[in-house]
Amino acid sequence: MLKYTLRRLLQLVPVLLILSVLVFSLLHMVPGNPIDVLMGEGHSDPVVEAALRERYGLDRPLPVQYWTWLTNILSGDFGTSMYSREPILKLILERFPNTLLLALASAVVALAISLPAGIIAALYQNRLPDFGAMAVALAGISIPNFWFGILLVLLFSQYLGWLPSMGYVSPAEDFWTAMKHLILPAVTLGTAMAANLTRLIRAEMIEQLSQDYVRTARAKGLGERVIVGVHVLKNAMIPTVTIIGIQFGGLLEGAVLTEVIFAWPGIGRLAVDAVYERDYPLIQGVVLVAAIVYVAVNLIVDISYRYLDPRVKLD
Amino acid sequence: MTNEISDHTGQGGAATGRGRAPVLSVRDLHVRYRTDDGDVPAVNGVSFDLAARETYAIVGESGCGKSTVALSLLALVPVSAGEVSLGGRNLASMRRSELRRVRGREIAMIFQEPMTSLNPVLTLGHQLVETIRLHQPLDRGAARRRAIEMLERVGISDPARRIGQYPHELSGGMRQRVMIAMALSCNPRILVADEPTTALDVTVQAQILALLDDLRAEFGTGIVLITHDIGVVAEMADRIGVMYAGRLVEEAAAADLFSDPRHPYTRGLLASVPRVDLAPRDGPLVALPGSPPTPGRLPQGCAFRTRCAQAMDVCAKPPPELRGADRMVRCWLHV
Repeated sequence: MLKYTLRRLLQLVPVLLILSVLVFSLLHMVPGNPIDVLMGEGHSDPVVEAALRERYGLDRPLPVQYWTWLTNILSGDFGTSMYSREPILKLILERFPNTLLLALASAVVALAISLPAGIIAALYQNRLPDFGAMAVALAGISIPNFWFGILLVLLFSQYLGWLPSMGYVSPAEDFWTAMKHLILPAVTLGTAMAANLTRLIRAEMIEQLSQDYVRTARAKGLGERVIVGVHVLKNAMIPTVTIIGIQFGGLLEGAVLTEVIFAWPGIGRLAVDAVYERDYPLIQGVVLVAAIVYVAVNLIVDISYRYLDPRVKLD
Repeated sequence: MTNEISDHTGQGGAATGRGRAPVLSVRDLHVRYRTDDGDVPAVNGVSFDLAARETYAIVGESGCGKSTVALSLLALVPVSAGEVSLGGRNLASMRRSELRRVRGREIAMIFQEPMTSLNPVLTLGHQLVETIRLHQPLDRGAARRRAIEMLERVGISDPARRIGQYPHELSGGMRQRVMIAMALSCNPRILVADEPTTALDVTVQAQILALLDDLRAEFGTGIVLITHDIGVVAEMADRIGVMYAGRLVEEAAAADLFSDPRHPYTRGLLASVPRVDLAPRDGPLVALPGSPPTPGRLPQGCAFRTRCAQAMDVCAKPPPELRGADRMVRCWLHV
């Protein structure tokens, strides 16, 4: 177990190195130039420009720039934002808990919907409850997420006035107000995730229900509730957890549109703001951290397999 | 109850003829499967009795409906008509809650595929203890001790360790032993074994059959053995029913069936099995010509007549029902 984890972590080193090269070079390939941004629109002064280039190390060869950037990052220095002048790591660490909170809440919403819906659809395969659940799931997949979020705001904030339409309040400050702010963005993200998960859980349940061990369980005299709730569900969850992990990893990178719509101060909005400001170091930092988080979540999912599926050997 | 049953039908197979009350009595069993092409009859009126401690074997080719009979004995497939009566109660008409109390406790089943019949993500202990506690008022510790005892009884070494293992850590033969332990853990009166050795190596086959035979004697369990392998039957069956196209075509005590097979299909089956105890003078192995008819598209009259070397004109009429007590055959040659 420990050996496996260590080996997987070692395997991550080349992955992350390649990633860092991509992140680094990405910004040198896109149009636009940080010096222009710093100089401001329409100004040009070769002397200042050269000074700025030297100050930010942009006059040095690319491999040298890359090496400096990488070694700095490894020592925890992601640089400073060109816009706010604050350390990038600090900016990201400030925003990350907010994104994590939203991701967790969305996952809870997604599971609360998709587990019962998927199971019921599978048990009533090709009958009314199944058609109902699948129609809703299809709608959930087809409807653009941000649009659904706007509809929710219209209904629950504008029309009914039950929930705030945007903003963030720290749970440490005022728990209930924080929850109220959390509901709409979490439902927006959670329902989108639930649509896919419902279809997946349904398919897995149907597949598992036709397995031989289900017949054995019936022959033993087990009730359907135990058969479905214990025997079948545990098997069906194995592939489902992978998808949940991948989707959750996606949420942790910041749900850009949802965070923007609901003015949620998470990683996604940080990234958008950084792009608007052409804050190159910040963009690099956010993308790199998001990638690391994604890879880490996948590792955790793989390790959790060991607990779900005894057939998986982790050595 | 037995007398009533033997009176109420001319379907044959009524009395066991052996002076013992049957623990299981199947009467005119019909099972139809619903398919896209309409209802397909898989079992068309099967009747037989199983006495306590007896092994009744149902033999036939793939697709003859024998596995469907096995499944219907626990109502694991919907029975369309007929009775499966267990101590006077008809399983085919039981409510689900009643059925759950009977399954596993009074009538248990083991399957053809030991590799897939156990739940892959639950420990053997979980699956055994769950069964035991379902039907017996034992606490977790006592159920666990019972599970270990059963594993030991079916020949699994180091059962206290094995109980924490998962099915994939065991070989096919070992898994079938676990299935047997699970099936017998609540001391059922009847064990239905659907091709229990088909998926196993030949040497393991013999061990499993011997084990089943021992346990039958020890626990007093009646066994319904479903197999396509007449060699398996020879080893342990007391009575044999030969099944063709959803019906029993011949039934007899095992020794009689082997020494004097009457239905041409039975003779064909026996002739196509290599046997060490038969001298070469009996001629080369003969394969039955043709293949079994598709359920739902059976020939008129005797379903076997299209493959039968002795077919006559009269065979186009429905063959006589199984009659008698000890020897029964559904064939115009034996009227």
